[in-house]
Amino acid sequence: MTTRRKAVAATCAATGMVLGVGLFSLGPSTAVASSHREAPLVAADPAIDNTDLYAFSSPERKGYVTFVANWIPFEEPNGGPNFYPFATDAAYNIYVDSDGDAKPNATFRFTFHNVDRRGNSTFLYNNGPVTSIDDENLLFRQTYTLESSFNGAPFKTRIENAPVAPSRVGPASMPDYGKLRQQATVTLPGGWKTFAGQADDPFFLDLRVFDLLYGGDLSEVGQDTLAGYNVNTIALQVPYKDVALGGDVERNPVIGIWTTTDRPKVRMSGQTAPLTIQERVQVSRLGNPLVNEVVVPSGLKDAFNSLTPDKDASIKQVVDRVTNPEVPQLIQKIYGIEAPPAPRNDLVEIFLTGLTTKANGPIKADLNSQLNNADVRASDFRPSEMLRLNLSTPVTAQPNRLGVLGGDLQGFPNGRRLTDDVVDIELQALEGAAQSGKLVDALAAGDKVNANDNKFGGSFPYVALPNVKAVNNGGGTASGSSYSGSGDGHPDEATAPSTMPAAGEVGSVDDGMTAKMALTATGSAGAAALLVGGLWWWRRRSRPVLPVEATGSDDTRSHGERPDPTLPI
Amino acid sequence: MRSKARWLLVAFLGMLAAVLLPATPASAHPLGNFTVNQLDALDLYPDRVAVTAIVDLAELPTLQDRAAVDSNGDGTPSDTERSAYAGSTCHALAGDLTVRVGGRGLNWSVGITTLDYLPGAAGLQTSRLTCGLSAPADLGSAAVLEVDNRFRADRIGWREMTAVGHGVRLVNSPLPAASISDNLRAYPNDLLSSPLDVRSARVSTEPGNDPSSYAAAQPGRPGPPGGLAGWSARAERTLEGLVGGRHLTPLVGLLAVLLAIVLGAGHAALPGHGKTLMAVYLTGQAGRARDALGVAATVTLTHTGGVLALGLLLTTVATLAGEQVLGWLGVVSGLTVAAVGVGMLSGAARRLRRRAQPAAAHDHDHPHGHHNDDHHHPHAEQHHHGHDHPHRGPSRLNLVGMGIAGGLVPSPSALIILLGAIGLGRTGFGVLLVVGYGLGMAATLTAAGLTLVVLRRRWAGRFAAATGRLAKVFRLAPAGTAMLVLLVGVGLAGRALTAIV
Amino acid sequence: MSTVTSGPRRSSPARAAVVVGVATLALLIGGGIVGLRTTGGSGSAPAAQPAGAGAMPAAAPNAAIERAQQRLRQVPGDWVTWAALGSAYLERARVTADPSYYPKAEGALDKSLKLRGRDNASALTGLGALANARHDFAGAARWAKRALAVDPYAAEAYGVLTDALTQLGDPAGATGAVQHMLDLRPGLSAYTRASYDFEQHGRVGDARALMARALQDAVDPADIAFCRYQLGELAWQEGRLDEAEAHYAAGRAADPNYLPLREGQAKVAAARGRTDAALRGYAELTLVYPSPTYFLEYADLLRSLGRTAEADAQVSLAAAAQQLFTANGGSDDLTGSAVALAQGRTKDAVRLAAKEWQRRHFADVADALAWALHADGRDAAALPYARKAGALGARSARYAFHLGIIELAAGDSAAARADLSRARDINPTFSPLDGPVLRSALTQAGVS
Repeated sequence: MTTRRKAVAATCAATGMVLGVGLFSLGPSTAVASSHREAPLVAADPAIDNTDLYAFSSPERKGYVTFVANWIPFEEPNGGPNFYPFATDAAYNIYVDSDGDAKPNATFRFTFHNVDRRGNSTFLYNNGPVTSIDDENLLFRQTYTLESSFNGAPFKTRIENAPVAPSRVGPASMPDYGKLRQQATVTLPGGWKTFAGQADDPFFLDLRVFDLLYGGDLSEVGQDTLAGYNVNTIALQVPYKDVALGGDVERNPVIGIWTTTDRPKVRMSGQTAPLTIQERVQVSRLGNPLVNEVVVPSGLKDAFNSLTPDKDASIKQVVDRVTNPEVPQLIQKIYGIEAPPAPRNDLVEIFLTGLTTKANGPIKADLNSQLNNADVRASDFRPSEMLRLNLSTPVTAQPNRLGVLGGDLQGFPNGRRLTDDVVDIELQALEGAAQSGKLVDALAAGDKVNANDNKFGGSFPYVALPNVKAVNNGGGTASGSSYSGSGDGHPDEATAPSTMPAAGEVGSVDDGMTAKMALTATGSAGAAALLVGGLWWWRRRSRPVLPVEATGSDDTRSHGERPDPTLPI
Repeated sequence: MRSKARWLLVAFLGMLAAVLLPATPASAHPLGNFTVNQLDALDLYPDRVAVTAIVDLAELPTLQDRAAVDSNGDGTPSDTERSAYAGSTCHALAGDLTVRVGGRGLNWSVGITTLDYLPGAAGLQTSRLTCGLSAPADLGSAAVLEVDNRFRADRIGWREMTAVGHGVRLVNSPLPAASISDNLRAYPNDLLSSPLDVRSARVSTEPGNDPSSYAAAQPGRPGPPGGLAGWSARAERTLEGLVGGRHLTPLVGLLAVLLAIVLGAGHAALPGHGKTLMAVYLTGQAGRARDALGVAATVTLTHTGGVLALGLLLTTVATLAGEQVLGWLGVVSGLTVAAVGVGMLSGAARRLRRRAQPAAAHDHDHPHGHHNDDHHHPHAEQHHHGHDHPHRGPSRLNLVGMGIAGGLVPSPSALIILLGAIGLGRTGFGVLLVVGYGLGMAATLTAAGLTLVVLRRRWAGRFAAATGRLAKVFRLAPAGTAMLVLLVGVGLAGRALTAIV
Repeated sequence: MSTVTSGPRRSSPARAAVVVGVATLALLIGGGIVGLRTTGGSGSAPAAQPAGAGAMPAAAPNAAIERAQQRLRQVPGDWVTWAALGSAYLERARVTADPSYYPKAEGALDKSLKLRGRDNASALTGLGALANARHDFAGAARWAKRALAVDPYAAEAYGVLTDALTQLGDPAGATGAVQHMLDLRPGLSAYTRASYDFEQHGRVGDARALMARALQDAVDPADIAFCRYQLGELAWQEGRLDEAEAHYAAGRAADPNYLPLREGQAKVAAARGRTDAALRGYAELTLVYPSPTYFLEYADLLRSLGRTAEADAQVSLAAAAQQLFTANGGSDDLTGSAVALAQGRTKDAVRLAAKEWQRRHFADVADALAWALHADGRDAAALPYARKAGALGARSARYAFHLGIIELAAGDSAAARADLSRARDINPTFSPLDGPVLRSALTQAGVS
């Protein structure tokens, strides 16, 4: 291009840029208009949010399996005035798949109803001490109905209007919460036991571990993020024969479990009332723990929540994520620990099929896949994400928190016990420990949180009583207490990062001094100039003018007289 | 021709940019045109509480209130109408602002009230109401203040409170000492902070001094500082964060010291600490590298020592008020400089007189141009020195004086870091940081001084052959610089005095 | 200078350098040692509580915002939380009407997108919601579609799309989008939008049922207030004042700061003839949230009471507010048209409404254009637009009234009678200023 054209091109580009910038920055910044309806977009809907699922052979009741499912994370103790009721327009489900086709063989459905005696006069939960679960001082309570359906048969109601253990208000209002818990633990015909109500959150981990995904690393761990918080728990204990395929636990010991929440489907055209039970929309789903954090990236979280397990294998992105997970790559980048090569069929085995030799997976162990059930047809088997439990694994007397990786076959991923440290197990598994059989040393510490802050109970429902002390004092963070004591939760230390009081205005001095200094310097320079001029003039007048070079010798290089060569400023 | 065209083009583009880049949003009320923003600046004294309440009304509330201001309905609020409205609104504000000391509410007396109109967006105006309230209160012993501002509680807007103690120490104050919105003039634009909505607070006080008052006494900034000053401000805040941070790992400690060094260097690069004077002095008095080093070292030592001494003093002696001490230090510093100037002047005058005498009329206040100091000067003995050599270059006393004067007024940032660290129980760390700060300062000052010396030497040669008037001027230079130093010293002392009084 | 000093002088800079170096090293090591001693300790630092200690207790959304801000200070790369923070800021802007949250929301969402550009559906959705708030409905639809391309299961993106298509005048598209939202995540956001969709089609019973369901699911006080307000509006539009009043009152009990409830209570008071309460309500409302729409409503009430000067003052405030909105770069010609009409500038009103109609064929815009044309004396041109406003079947007394008056002026008395009667049957008190006009027009048209 000639110079001229270049100039023209440059001009056009510059003008275009200037115009573009000018027009672009004309976007409204402080404008607000209200003439159209704005409905909430991101509305809080905690009641349907699955947080955890546990499934294990009951340690003290032989022949019975316990399911513990939790909802509503980060329940602050003393979280009035509405506390944390279960949603009444949703159904809370626990599903069991015993034949491996990723469709439920047993469904346990919990639905909740409010019994609200407050009317419009008060928002208080209770107006006096609540000493029993049907105390009339308890103004707001909930009840639940449990229905079950086996192998597609119609639902049968197992219990109606069972009491829900209320949110724990505090020691003054509920002096003996243990009694309330006991009264909410119901035994049903057939040996079933059910419980619904608030409990201490049994999950223990340092959530900062997952900062790995956002540029963080594992250096700042060791605090149980969930310490001190409560959850809403639904617990169910049923005999093996009710969930095993064909009722035969010897031949078919493996079951798959997952939990969902669903709401009725609404049709814009046609009827709006909920139609048949089949017309429900799944809004939340959980099987193995931390799948959303570790395996499925947030971009697929919505999909995972909406899909039923029988669709998992068909969604390529989900499968891709299991076979090529992100976390090991990050760990390799940060810690240099070599990520096992993709495709990660060992993870497919752990998460999608269960450990078995029958699926051509790399981990040669027959532990917890429905394929190992004698009456299962391999052709019907579908890989899907769910928690798989082998009911015939004997109960370990001293559970190892690292589960199968620690040599304790009764632990995660063979079901999940309350004491299993799933973060560490999954981290190790992601680094290939399950396949190699060796723990990765560099990650041995994991998230440095190895146990729950509260001790678990020895009998159904096993979860600890809800905490009472507030976790955050006034607008705090999600990080919980730094103490891991026993008993109820402890109040947190100050959560805001410490700053010095009266900070923030330090920059002002320098500018102030700058301005004043400049002024002083200018003024002085002006005055000095005047003075120098005056002095010079005065000298001219009062002294004979001596030629400056008069005293100088010819030797210009000598030390002779020469004018002061110094510079004034 | 082409270059002219190019300039025209540039000018045109510049005009275009100036036209298109929107100017109005800059003058629109930054928080939205219908906000009513409030600041309550509390000043706590041992015997009273003073509150400066500022209300910043955006365009629409100003318009809506106009009818109330313009009581005679002539369309323009006159001065009397404005002051009447200001008075009555401030009384209403005083009624809605509750301050309880030890459970007892204070009775406000309303002092100065003003209502100003400022230009806003779309040709409308915003208004600014300032109320000065004061009430007697007994803060001579430990007390708890509960502040609650219900003025126009239902209006949307920024609500801010600050608290500064004068002769009263605030214990773990939840309120900052200075406004983060520069008294409702420049609202911060931080993505990670919600607009302030502080409507009430609980402040515990004790008798004593308060470092925050010292920091707050500094003049406020008109806007966010740019360039070097802005960078320093941010670095200082980072350093404070590190000092106060919970997780002080070895790496963080190391980094903090490094940051302190860098900050000190940066701080010394800004005007102040006698660099101008040092420059004047060194060049006017034929300073050498060692002189530069000497001055730098003295400044640093004085500064570090001063910060440490002042910091420790402030925290131990309860009755010492930070601003007062600084003021006196400023006076002393100015007087020292003036004294040095007098010394320089007398020396220069002496030399001028001697020059007038033809006998030993030569001057040694020169580095012999490009003959540097290492050069053998056999003539040193051959000179008929009828007079004594008062010095080679600047006298040591003068240098020390300059150094002390330069370092006497401690940098507030270093002081605050130290005080904060002491307050957090990390005294040793604070001392370490101050020393690091001083090291950084020393580095910059040395570099500056050395540069000046080298420069002077380079250029001195050029003026060696100066003749005539120029030579006369140069001859008068020492006297001139001495006068300058004297004036500056007097000026500094005077300014510090006015600040105290 | 003697030679004596030259030697050492040459090495003294080196020596000085060594000394300085050692000193610096010592300092740094000192810093490290201090760090070692304080690691592991919980730090005796007294926390300066965030400004607001002792301030009013934070509502749940505020707490979520603070948690997110805290988190982002510690992990600035967390693009998920940046997007969530941006959306939370938007919700706060919507609830508190505090516009200083909009630039914050934009900044946070942009940051999230910058950190993660490829599959960041939540940031794209948030930017779409922001565009909706700024009335850039076409832009919002684009953002929503981009979000859905990335994540077809993003229910919130469907929400943004529903809002945008509704305002753009694409009812079929809007219904489809909200059905998708209902199929993905039925909950408050979906129910409220579906309710609005029903309302626009005149299915008031269904709209009420869904809004009641949304109310059941509401946890935040602001969400409860929103649902109560909408239920109140649904009752008001049918002229059921007691029910409306009950809902508005319940909403204020849940969240006293939710501003639209005040408007609801004021207009019910006006309809009941409790003029003092109504005037007080409007006065307070316009002081706190001076939006042009509220100013115009207030002005209508004042004018209906014969207080013309005060009414004109409110209209000029409305004009100032609209002026500011435009000066800030916003564009809302629908409101601009209403303001112009209130000031009697009929030509401007027509022009602005026509401009808005070009952008979007929304029912309210058709109605505004029709009424402006009628005010300008062009009833023949106004008629088709007035009919378009009610084309979807919305049960609106205002639409019916406007249509009836225009038909009357155009000479079609039979149709006018029918439409004016319809307006009266739906809600005779729909406007303090136009209510009497409706009554007299009915008499004029020969309807008792």
